[in-house]
Amino acid sequence: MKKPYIKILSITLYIFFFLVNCFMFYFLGNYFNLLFVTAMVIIPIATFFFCRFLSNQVSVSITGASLVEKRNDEFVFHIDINNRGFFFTNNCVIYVDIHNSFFDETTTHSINIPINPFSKNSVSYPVKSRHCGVITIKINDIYIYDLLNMFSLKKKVNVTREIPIFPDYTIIDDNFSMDFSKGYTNLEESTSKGHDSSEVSDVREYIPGDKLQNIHWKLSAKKDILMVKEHVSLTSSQLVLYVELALLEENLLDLILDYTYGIGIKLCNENVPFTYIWYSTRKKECISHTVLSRTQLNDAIFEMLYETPFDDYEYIRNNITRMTGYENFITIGADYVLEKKQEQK
Amino acid sequence: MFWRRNKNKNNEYYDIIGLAKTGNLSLSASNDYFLIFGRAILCLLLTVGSICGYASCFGAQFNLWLILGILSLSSLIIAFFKNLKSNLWKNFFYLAFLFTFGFTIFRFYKYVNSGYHALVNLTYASLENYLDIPALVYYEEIIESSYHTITLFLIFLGIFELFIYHIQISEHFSAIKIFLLSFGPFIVPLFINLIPEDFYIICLMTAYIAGIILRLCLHSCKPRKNEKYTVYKKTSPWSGKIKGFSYGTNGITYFFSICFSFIISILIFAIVTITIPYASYQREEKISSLKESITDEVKYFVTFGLSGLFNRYNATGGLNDGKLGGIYSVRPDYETDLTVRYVPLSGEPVYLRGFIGTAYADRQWYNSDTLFEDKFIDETFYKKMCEYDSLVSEYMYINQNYPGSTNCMQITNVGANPKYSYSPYYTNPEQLEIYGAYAETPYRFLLNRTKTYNFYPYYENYMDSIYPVVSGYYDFHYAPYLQIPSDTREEIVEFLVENNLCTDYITTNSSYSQLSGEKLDLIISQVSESLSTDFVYSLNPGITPKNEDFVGYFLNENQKGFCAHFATSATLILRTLGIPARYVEGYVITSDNLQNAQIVEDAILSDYMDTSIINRDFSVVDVNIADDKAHAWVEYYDPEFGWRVFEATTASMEDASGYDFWSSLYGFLNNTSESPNDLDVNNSEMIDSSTVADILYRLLIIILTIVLLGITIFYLYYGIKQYRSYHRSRNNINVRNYYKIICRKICKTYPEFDFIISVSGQLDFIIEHYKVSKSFLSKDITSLASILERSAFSKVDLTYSEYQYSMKMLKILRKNITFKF
Repeated sequence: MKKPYIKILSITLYIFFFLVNCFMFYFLGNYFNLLFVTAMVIIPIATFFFCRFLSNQVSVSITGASLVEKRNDEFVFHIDINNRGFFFTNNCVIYVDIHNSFFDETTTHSINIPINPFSKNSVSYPVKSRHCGVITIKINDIYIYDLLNMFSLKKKVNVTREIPIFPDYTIIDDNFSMDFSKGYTNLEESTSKGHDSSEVSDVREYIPGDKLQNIHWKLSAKKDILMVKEHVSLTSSQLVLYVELALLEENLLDLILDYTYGIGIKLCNENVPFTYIWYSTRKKECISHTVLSRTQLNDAIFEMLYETPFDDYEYIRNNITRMTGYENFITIGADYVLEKKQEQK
Repeated sequence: MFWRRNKNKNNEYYDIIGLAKTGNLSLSASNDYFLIFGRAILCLLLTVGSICGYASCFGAQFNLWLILGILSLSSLIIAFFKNLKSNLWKNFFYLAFLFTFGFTIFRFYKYVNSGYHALVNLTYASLENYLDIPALVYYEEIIESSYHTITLFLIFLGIFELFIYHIQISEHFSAIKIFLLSFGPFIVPLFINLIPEDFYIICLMTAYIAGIILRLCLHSCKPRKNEKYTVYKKTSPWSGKIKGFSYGTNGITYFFSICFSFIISILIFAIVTITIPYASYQREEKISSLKESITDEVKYFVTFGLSGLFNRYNATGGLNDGKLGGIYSVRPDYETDLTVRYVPLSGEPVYLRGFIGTAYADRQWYNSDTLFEDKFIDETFYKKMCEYDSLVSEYMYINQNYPGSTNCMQITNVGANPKYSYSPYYTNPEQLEIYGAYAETPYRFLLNRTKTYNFYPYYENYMDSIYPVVSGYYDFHYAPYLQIPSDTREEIVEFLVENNLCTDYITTNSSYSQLSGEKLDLIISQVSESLSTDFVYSLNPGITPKNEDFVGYFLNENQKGFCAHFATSATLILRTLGIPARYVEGYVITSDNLQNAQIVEDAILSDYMDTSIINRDFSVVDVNIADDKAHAWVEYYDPEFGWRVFEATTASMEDASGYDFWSSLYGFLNNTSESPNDLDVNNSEMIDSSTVADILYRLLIIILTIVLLGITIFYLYYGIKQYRSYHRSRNNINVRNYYKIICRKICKTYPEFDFIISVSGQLDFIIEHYKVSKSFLSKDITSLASILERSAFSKVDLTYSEYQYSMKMLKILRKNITFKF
């Protein structure tokens, strides 16, 4: 059911023009004024039907960037409005909700777009985000005004687009030093030749693409099918990074994610497996995500961006060992970030 | 720079945390070529519809295709230049355009002038027919071929209009201005029931409908700084206060709006012309009362100019309650004030007495009502006066020997001043309302009431018969009828002495001369002759200057006036000569009225006159008396006859064309008293160069005055606006604006100040370079910097104490900052 909305100012203005015209008609009594009075009576009715037909022909979509590699990078998204008919209007008001899931903030703004016959009009938003997170752009309704801008028809569209904005990994440069303590020492040992500090966690059938060195030759000979060993690195479980997604100052939270992502990239580039752990307020539990490659890193960060910061960071910090079972981990939190910033200075 | 950050729109953050605009929002469908084309078409439609439509109303012949071609091209060029982003090019174009326009119009001025005259003459001819105004001054066309001259004139006028429309449309789309400009001239033909040809009607309708659409959709103008979108904050009933983005203007929208308007105009035109054809509409047309009254106003305006619209007797009748001197000119409205039904016995005027002025002071006559209230005269006199009037009337009523016989007059008050009874000479006193304090109501003759008076007609030739009764009335209290202000008396004496008029009879201290018989008749005739020979009757005598005596100015300087001038002067002259006299205002029925009178067929003659005495063939007539028949005359006291009427107003009229607003304007511009029609138009090329220079000089003075006035008004307006915005705005804005002023001042001396980003840095710079450290402590600097930062970036308003503190500190800063070379 379409609900018409009216604009008092436009109607008042139109009535004013109409009254002026009526007065002229009364005063001059001329045929010319009769034409105008008639026109002013007919036009609003015509434009109402114009608007009604138009509302059936219009569709809305949001296009543009699907992912932003790092915050503060410019990206563009477009709101497209497509008209399949020959009716048009000068005023189509779209209420755009923009939601940042990480900070759980939503704002609404309106934008005015003309709808032209048989064409697609699009508005481009060249923007950049100071914060990371998943930006959700949502359009629920559009309001199509008549040509005289006096009333509007509401049309439901329900269009959504999510744009994840990743942290700024460039914060970690070549001179960046990490104190990975024990975990990093073990790691050095494990990567030296002749040592295999991994354990077999599972044995499964061979899938093309598996490394030949992982084939379990003995078992394959027994079963007459190629079987593959799945390793769990002992050292990776030792290098654990606890990302403290606590509700702190906005900038600090961004910096925590920047460091988390930057360190992750640095470790991936050095082929060092590691595990991210963080507390999820949505699931009310600690999540651990082992990262062996860049893709897994992105998945982990992506998952983090959907989280929302928690309030009681001291409680979580004290109970993280109990919740995850990890005893040794590096906390990337506010203290860490501030310390590193001091070091950089 | 601190105060420049607000100007940097690119850093404007959306409400959502951290999402910033890095560029302007852009609309894919915006197209400048469409915009130029759309504006050009809209302006062209307005111009062609307006000027050519106007000309077509009066049946002017011109070359439409040539006009369309030139105006289309001009409109496109103007639209193109108006759309340029560079102000330099725009200004260059304005100059080039004005220069070319000026040069061309100067080159063809004869044709353009002639075309203008031809069009004005056509307008005059139509106005003359419709309004029935004779003798409008027509222009003489220098070039005979009006087809070419009108075409050329319309082209020039069109280009000028185009330019104005483009400015209005592209910059702020002022719909009212556009409407007034294009429809204003149309009022004249539409008023006189002329309509333009169909093509022009469609042009105008298209333009107006498109204008309304574009104006109401609020996307008619480009936003500032050529951005596609402007940001505004709006309050939505369902979303609260939100930020909104509105696109400025769109070429395709423009184009489609005009197309839609064109189609709907044609459809409506077709529907209306088929359902109500023009011919049948004209037959059934009823003229509104408003239009009728405006038609009268237009008549006055066309005939007398602006002054024709005021300075008329008011609509409640032509009487002015004895007020004198404040009227520039008399403009009767020719509306009927009284309707009189009676039997006219002769062609002599019949006076209907209304206001009777007894005492004169400060340019005003006071009647007995006012005098009674103001204690000017005592009650004894008042009663005696009533007694005397009754005596005369009663005598005549009882004495059947009077040749006039008793008559009956029915008077209906249609629009006359209801304060007076308008009784003819001499009415049966029982029928008259009681004066003054005895009256129940201040109105004696309410509107739309009818009164019947029995009266004896006053005829000057039969006054002898009244003698027996009034001659015995010796107890007449004459003193109030000899009252005269001393200043006026001096002026009158000067006049009498200069003209050697009855100087032997000039009295001192208003003593009663008791003149009668031949001597009195001689004085009356001499005064009458003097007023009729040396003075001119005029409805436009002008206002008597403030410091001048009304009578003195009339007698000794102006020497022209209307009946009030003559009657007042004559009354006071007679009083100076010791003859009791009074000033009377009322209506006079003259032979003109009788010519237009309607005979009442079904009236019984015996009801209106005593047929037993005069047995002749008379008719009962209805006479309409308009306010042009309002009159002032003199009654003087003759000891032998009582009050007699003295018609002091001269018959010598001022030349009807003596006053004309347009002629006066021309005279002012030309420094002559000649009107334009006095000049030989054929010899207009031979106008003396000094005359041209003089005209230009006067025009220059007028333009300069207007410009100076405009500048003054602008600055006053700007100042008031600034003052109000300062006092109404938020504390944040005030503090920020005040700091801006300080920053600008410093930048003039130290340009490097512009590059300091932080407020605290700026304050340090100021402390370092100006000697303000004594007044400022380090904590003051910190707190001031914090307040200034907040005033610029925070949405929360400063508290009053913070505002006061920061303003105090800023004022100290400002005092210490001086401009250094």
